Amino acid sequence: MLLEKANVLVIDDEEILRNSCKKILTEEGHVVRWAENGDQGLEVFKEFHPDLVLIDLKMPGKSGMEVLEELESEDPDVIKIVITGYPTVSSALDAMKKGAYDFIPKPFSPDELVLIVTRGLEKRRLLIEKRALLIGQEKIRRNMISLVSHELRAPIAATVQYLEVILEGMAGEVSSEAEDLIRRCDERLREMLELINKWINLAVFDPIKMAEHFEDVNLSEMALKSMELLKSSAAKKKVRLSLEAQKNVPVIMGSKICLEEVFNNLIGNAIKYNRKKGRVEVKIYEQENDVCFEVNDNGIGIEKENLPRIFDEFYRVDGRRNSPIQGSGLGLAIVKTMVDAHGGAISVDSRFGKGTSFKIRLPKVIHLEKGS
Amino acid sequence: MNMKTENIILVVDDEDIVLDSCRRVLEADGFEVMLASSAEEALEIMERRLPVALLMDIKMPERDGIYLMGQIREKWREIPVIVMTGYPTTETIAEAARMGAATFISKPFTPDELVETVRRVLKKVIQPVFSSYG
Repeated sequence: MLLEKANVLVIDDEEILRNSCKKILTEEGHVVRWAENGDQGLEVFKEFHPDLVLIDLKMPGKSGMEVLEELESEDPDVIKIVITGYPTVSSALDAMKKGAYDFIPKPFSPDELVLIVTRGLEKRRLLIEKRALLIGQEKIRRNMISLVSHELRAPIAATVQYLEVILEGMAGEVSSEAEDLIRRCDERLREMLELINKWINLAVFDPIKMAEHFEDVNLSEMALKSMELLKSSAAKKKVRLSLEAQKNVPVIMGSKICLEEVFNNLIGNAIKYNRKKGRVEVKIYEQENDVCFEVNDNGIGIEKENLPRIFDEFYRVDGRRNSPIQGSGLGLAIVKTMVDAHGGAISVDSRFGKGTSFKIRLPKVIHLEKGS
Repeated sequence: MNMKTENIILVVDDEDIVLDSCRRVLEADGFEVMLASSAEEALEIMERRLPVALLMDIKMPERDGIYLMGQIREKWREIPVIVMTGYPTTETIAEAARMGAATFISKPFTPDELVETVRRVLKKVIQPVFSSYG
């Protein structure tokens, strides 16, 4: 389906060309307005809201290229086609780089004009549909967040609270067998709540908002803090934690809360997916313009075929519900989202049965000299 | 008003289970508890009998907790409000604080957390340093 009745703006200093374009395109069912120079064209553009603009590249006053650039910054979704009497490859390329969709050399026949405008309007239709689709998807996403947050999370939280009341004996005496069963229910529901919270955190994560709270972060200090936090779970599995941090590693600009999440997830996973008496080595060092952070373990490793999907939401290498190692399948998705939002990169190297190594590169703070 | 001598807590939540669990916990700790499942019901109750503190959910159908808080700030500024929130984000906490909440408690909470929070808020109310409630 085409945009049958589109708004077309013609910006050209030649009256004959303006009139002929108007005649041809009006006969095609479009509404056509024209302007005889760049400034006038920009004014008409703002009130006419065209779907497509034909711009002569060579005009007195503001050049077609300048007009093209201004229109592109006003609305990149409006189709711009340049008209030129000097059809050189370089002017065509320049115009395309500045946002033109296509190019029509003078003189052109009515059929050529109709063909190129029809093609442009087809592109415009696709852009409008794509935008509508994105808006629709965003609406679905927001509804989903609201649904999960209120309709799913709230009753589970209320149930957990009820179980706590029962366990405290506030609804009568509880036998030790019943207490054991209730505690298991409570634990399972709390895991579900944690999963929901993690998903909501990821779904509402806004990298722009996060960047507003960026501050200097010392990764070595952060690694130590995370290792301290996870010390007891490492001790339970008799996993040895060690940190090798290069001296005077530069600070990076980042969000402490988000980076803590990254450290806790990676070090936590390295402990969780380890063997008894295994080891987890954390390394921090400078490399070119980045500060690197590695978490290496000699744990169970990841099979090669699973590696490409480990950063996907809800992907778990051991997908069994009753898997001996519990997890949400969101930890690494969160890690990747946070690292990306810091302008960094994450890579993984693993050998099944031998261990896994995650490496994160985060750009270090560059202090510019005055005048540079 | 006789709120400082009475021991009544009003709990407002659209979830029956939350109301009942709060009632059981607070009654076990010696409080008298009134329950409301909507902002309107809470306001009706308060016209008849004032609690010493109010425990309320921020997300409720129809009139939400923010509306209720606005009404309370207008009519009964001295009554401290504890906001219960299922999903404590900095935005909801900041919004609750702006509206004048005394504190907030994150759901699900344990009986001990609830009692401790209520007691802490009531203690603050009777201390002159927190006279801004009165």
